[in-house]
Amino acid sequence: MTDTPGENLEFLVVDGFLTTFVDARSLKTAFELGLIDRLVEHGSGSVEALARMLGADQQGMRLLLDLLTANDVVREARGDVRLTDRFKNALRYRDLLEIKLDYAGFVIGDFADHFTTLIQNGDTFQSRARLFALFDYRRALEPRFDNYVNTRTWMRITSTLTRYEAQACLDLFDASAHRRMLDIGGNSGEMVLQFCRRHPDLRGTVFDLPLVCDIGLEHVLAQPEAPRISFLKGDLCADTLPGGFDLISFKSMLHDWPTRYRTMFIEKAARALEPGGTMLILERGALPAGRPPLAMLPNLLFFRSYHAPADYIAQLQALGFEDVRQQTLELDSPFHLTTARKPVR
Amino acid sequence: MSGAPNFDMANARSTIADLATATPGEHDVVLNFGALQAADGAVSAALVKRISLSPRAARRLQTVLQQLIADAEQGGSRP
Repeated sequence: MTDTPGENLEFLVVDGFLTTFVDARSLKTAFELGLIDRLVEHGSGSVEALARMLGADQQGMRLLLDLLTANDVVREARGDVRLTDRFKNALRYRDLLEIKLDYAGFVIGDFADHFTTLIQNGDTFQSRARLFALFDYRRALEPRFDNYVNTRTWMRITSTLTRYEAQACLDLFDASAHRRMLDIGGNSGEMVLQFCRRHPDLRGTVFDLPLVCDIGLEHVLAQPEAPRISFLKGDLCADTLPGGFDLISFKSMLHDWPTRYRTMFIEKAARALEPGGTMLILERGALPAGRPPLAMLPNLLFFRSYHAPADYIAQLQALGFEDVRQQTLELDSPFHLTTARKPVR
Repeated sequence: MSGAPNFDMANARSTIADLATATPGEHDVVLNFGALQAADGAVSAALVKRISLSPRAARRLQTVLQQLIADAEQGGSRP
C-alpha cells in the first residue's frame, strides 16, 4: 500500500532557498555577517547602515543584497531592506536551513573534485571523499577528544534532519499503542525524542556505538522527555539485542550497510521484538531523476546507498511478519516507511 | 589576609554532574547539568540543575575553562 501525505511538511520551504550554489553561498554569508539577525531584530535597514554595521563596504553589501533579492531572501523598497515574508517563514526552521547550508557546503569539494571517481567507482570515491571521512563510524568507538569532536559534527547533521523527518513519519505512523521503543542505530536519540514527545506513554531506548550514546545523553539532557529515554552502547554486528520492546525502528541506518548486514540486523531485531510488536523501517529511497538542487548534494553523493523497500518487505514477509505495509513520504526526496507486525504465537 | 573572597555558603549546595551542556537563550546562556542513571544495562540522563548565565558571566566561564584545560593538557598546574 502506498500513501503520500501532504500535511505538516512546511519545513520543506527551506529547500527553496538552497537551489544553486550562488543562492546558498550568499545566504550563508548573510548569516555569517549577522545580516539576517540584524534584519530579524530591527525589521529593516538602509544599505548604507547595514554595510556600516556589518563591516562590509557599500559595493560588497550591494552585491550581496542583489544576490539575496534574486533568491527572495530580502526585498528592497526606497532603499529600505527587509526580509521577505517567505524567508521569514523559512526562518521558523532555521536549524534545518543552517544545517543544510553547512552540509552542502561541506561536500561541495567532493562533488567538484571527485564526481568522476564517484561515477566510476564508489569504493575509490569513498576512500577520497571528506564526506566519508566525516561519517567514519569507527571513530565513534574510542573515547578520545578528536573522536568526540568528529562524531559530534556528523551527529549535529543527522539529528537536525531527523528532527523533521521523524515528525513527518509520525504523521503517517500512529505509535500510540506502543509502550517501549528500541531505535537501532538511534543516533542522538532525536527519533526517540520525537516519538516520546508525540506519545507521553512511550519510553524509548537508543542502541548505538559508545560515543554516539555519550553525545546522545547530552543531546536529550535538557528535554522534558529525557527521563523516558535511555541509551544502550553496543555493536550490532556482534551484540544480541535485549528484549522487551514492542516497537523496534531503523531510521536512516540500514542504507549504510551491505545487503548481508542489513539482513542480519533485521533478523536480530525480529528476534528481539515482542510478539505483536511492530518493526518500523524509515529510509530515503532512490533519488528522483532530474536536476537536483544544491541542498540535495549530500544525498547525491550517497546515491548508491538508497534502495527501494522491496528487500525489506520480502524479508519481513519471509520472517512471518503480518500486516506488512509500505508508505511513501514525499520529503526533499521520497522516503519509504515500512512497517510490519510480528505475529503473536 | 589571604585575599580570598568570603562567600556566603548558607544557600550553596554541592552535587556531582556527569553531563554538562550549554544552550543559547535569547539573552543568556543556559547550562544544564545532569546525572547518569543506569538500569538494565542502559543509561539515561537526569537533569540535576539548570543555570542561566548572563553573557558576561558565560564569557568569563569560557575563559576559566579554556585556561584550566590548557593547563591540564600541559601538565596539570592549576590556574
